[in-house]
Amino acid sequence: MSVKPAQFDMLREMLSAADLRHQVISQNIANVNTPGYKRQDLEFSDLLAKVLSDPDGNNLGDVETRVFEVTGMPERADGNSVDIDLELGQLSKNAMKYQTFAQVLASNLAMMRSAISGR
Amino acid sequence: MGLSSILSASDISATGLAAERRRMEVVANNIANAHSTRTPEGGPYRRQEVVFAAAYQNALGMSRPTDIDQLGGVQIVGIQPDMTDLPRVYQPGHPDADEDGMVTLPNVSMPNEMVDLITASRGYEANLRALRMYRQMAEQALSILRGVG
Repeated sequence: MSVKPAQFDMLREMLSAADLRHQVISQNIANVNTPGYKRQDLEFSDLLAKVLSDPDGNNLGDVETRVFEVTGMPERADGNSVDIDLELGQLSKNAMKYQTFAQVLASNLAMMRSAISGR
Repeated sequence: MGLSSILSASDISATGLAAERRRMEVVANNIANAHSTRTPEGGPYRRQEVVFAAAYQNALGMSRPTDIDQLGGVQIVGIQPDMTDLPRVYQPGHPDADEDGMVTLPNVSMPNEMVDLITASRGYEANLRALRMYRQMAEQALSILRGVG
């Protein structure tokens, strides 16, 4: 039995993914008034495949991401396709996800601590 | 997640805050000079406009970034004068009136400036919100450490 529970790496990946997504959403918000700017999003390539091929989560490595421009979004007259309400919604959602993962990780650690100390 | 990336999202939001603040300053300057008929360059004041461009780090010649590390927020690439026609009004008593009694005034229009001001202010708020939310996330992550040790 490994000392490190299997969820640890997965939770770390998920926290990392939420952190990266926050950067992209921040970039979109920073460019809400930039003419011609197109909304960008993040693609997590084969994260699921990696997790499935490695159920113990021992060799997950870092999340591989790719930034891409979202096409087909309605554009303003200046060619900007950032919808501020959408971005703020995504921002809240992403922050909540992050807090959930952090909370789960913290309670996992607390459980481990109580197992070690026997209290 | 490296230590440097702990701050990168705040940096992105900070560029947004700086850009929107700059835009508000320029709008304020336009409003303050709405009736300035003399400038160091000569002639009446021309409305100034900021030009925003998306900033990408280490992406020379690339129009679109593919890597997350290249996101650099927004930058101001210039403050340019608005070259639309300057309005002329009949004010024979004005010191800068020409021989026909016409005065050339700045091309600042209040409704435009007000709309710009509100847009900049809303953009500022949105960037601030992203920054605050990131701080909350970082605090949450740091609280994991609190129980250990």
